[in-house]
Amino acid sequence: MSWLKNENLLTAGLLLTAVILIAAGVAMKQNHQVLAKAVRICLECIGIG
Amino acid sequence: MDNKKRTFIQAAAAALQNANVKGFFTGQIYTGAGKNVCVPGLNCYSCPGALGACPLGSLQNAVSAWKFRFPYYVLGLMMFFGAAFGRLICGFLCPFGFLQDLLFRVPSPKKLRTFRGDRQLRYIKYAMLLIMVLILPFTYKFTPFFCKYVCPSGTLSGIMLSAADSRLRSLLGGIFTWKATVLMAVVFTSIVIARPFCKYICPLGAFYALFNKVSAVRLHVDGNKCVNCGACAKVCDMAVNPVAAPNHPECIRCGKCVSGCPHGAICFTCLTVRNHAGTIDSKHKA
Amino acid sequence: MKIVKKPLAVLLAVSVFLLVACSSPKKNFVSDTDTRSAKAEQAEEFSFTTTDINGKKVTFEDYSTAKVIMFNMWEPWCAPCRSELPDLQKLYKKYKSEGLMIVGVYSDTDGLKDIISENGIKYPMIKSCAAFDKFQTGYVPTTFFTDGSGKVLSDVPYVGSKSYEEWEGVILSYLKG
Repeated sequence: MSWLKNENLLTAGLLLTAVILIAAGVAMKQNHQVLAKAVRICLECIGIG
Repeated sequence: MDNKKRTFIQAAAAALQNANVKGFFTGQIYTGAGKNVCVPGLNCYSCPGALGACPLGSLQNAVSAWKFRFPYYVLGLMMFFGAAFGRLICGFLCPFGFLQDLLFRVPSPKKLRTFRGDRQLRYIKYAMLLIMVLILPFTYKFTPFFCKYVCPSGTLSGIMLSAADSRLRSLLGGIFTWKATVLMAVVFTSIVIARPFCKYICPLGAFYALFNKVSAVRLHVDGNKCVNCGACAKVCDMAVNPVAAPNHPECIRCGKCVSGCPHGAICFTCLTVRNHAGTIDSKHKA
Repeated sequence: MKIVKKPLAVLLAVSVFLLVACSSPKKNFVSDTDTRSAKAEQAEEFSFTTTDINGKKVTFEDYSTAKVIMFNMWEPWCAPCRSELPDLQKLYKKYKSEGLMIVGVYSDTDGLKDIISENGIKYPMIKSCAAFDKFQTGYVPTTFFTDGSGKVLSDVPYVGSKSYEEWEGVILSYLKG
């Protein structure tokens, strides 16, 4: 593909790394941790109380 | 991209990320599966309307866990957003950025593009990212320092929650007073200076800034069309010169330089090839 | 794709992303509950079946001999939740003989046992289950009270941590009431 040149390789590499990290995180159920802490707010953590 | 279209996109993005309308009236936050996913911009998950999780809050929670586990998921999402869009997220998708843009439209006797010390102050946001988002939460467990002591998006959420739920009003104390002061400072400064929070404080903007030079979406200046008239630098709210420094870390990709260039020399690109003369091979339109 | 449509494409991608995530709500997490209507829902007797911190099965009946049961829903990662644990332990020790039972309800186990032993907590700790959903406010800590038969005593759940004196006042009002 003609667009796959030097600087775009770095971009593609970063995107691929990001996707791998996301997949690894989902495999480790880290998205559940994100959900758990976003649906039960510790009031002090947002400066209340 | 004219300003009206951009304003529409910003409004739509803010509305979409905070579409739990019922929450504004009941004071109850959304607790559904949407909060598995981080939104790209700064949007506190304690906002009663928020459908997604805040990337900064999620990162601090992950880093400050009792037993540290590398935050693959949150970091991966943030990297994806950064590598794909860079600070285009700041310019188009961040609700708090949109709020500052609206405030800057409020008429005032003076509008400051830059001032002495402006450049140096821009480094504070990197210190915020390193210290308040990473080092302190990692050191002192279970405490998201940026959320707790600084984030004005969270303060806005707290105001909305306590307006709807009287139980919370009795809990507002010293920390909230401090945070409300920070919020007020951002609000009033936003009338005089464009995007002060994005320029000087936002750790998320600091993170995405690292990707500006390498992101898939970028700005391109056509060397054959540019006559160095300086029109682009004059319209830039972030005091960036797009010709001298295209894709500068401070550029939030609002597109004002694109529409402001009388020669059509600046455009957005996405993973396109640049030949030796700096022109773009594939078809494009600004 | 025309470059001018990129931001619109971005917006579309974000919309699809969020809509996909919203389309499969997880049943084991809290549901959208209006606690102001909790009083109507609380007319039913409260009961549950879950496990304690050691994995042993527990039901509401295990605490039914108490006059007043204080269910304190907390999380180990919540600083104000942890800060009130020693006070709750003191109150439990002081009013246990008068019929008070305190039950800690958690979801996350990260650091849980360390925090419990560091604070010398002796009252039971049980894992949250669907029966507790109707009392969730979206905040932690959230606390509600029942009597030994499962009748809910608190009009609406208490949100946020309280001092020793504040909790003592609340507990005494239920013990004497």
